[in-house]
Amino acid sequence: MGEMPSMPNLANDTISTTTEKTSTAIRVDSSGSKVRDSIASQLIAAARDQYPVQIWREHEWGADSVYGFVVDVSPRWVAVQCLADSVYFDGYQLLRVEDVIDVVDDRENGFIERGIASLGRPEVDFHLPDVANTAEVLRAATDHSELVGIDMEKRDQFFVGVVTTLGERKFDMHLIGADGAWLHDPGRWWYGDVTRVMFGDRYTHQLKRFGESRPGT
Amino acid sequence: MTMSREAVAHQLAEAAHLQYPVRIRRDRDWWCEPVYGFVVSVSGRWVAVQRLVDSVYIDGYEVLRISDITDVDPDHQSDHVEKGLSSLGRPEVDFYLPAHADTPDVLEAAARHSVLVGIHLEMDGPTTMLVGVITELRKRKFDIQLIGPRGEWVVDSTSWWYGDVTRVVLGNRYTLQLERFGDARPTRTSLERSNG
Repeated sequence: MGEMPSMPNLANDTISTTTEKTSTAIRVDSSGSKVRDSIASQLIAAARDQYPVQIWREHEWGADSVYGFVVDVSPRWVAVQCLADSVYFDGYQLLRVEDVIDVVDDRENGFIERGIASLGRPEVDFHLPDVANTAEVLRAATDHSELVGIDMEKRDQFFVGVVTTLGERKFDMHLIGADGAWLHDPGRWWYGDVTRVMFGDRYTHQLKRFGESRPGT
Repeated sequence: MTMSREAVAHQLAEAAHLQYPVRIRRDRDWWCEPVYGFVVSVSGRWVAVQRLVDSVYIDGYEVLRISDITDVDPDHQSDHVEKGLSSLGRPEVDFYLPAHADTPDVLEAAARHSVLVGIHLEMDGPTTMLVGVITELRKRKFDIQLIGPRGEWVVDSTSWWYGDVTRVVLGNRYTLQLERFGDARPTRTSLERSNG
């Protein structure tokens, strides 16, 4: 039996603050505030009551759905403690709230609960920063895990590596390949292209553990 | 590039003999994902692969139709995988195809190995995978009692054509968690008993 999870960063005295932040997100949305309002409310409820959800995002650029527990919500980003193969915890994924099109409540017949009660749930040890713009999200992810996966799904690109510099509109990242070999120099990308951030999962963990030593460290 | 049938057969046999990981592609009109792992058995119309997920984690077996395979890409530069496996360990291979395996033979072997078997019908669409207990192997069709993704059983078995089966999955994390945490399997008798 694993450790029980800590509660998400949504104590009663902060819910109103989070809701206000969410209202900010709704204002910048031009595709229908009622839909965004509903999605924000569902994400906040899932974080508060800690039930598993399936999060669906825009499909025209082939975004995966993400399954797990919402552990934190900010105006622009949501943090999910992911479940792989239904009942196995597999790190965190951070998604842009604006890309979410549906949040499906998966409290049902006790199957997931049975699995988690048996296998254990790792303590939640990641929360979004108060000002969760993309740069701060990347900083928080890097503070948690040295290796971070960055998805730019609209460009069909996924990188894993170490974020080395957080600039005003771009960030630098030193990449490691699927074979555990490091690229020679860091590359530079726009924050605006980042649609998903992943860390603490099996894939990045094995790269950290079995990959080559990072040059210059 | 599509390999010839002879080249596919040669690469599969060599990969099974020398035990280096390969990436097997099946670039057909219907969608199907590549499979990465160790070829452990080649027989008749099928090949069995001990699968690697996330590069270094062994996750059960995948059995593929050889006629669907368009490319077998050997991963000779797999130092990273070898390092991972030497640390994490590689489970002993305990599944082999019977000689001259046709589809009923594959399903029978899979059912002997694992209670729950996953059966892909990829020509019908990428999401079509049946998971359940194979209850009967007939001449042209098989029966399977299905379990859903949340561990709920369908009471009655349903029949499917052998010809639609493109991939068989067994002994992986997904089927094991269904077996472990799913509902008790109902049978007609147990259902009648519970209904009084």
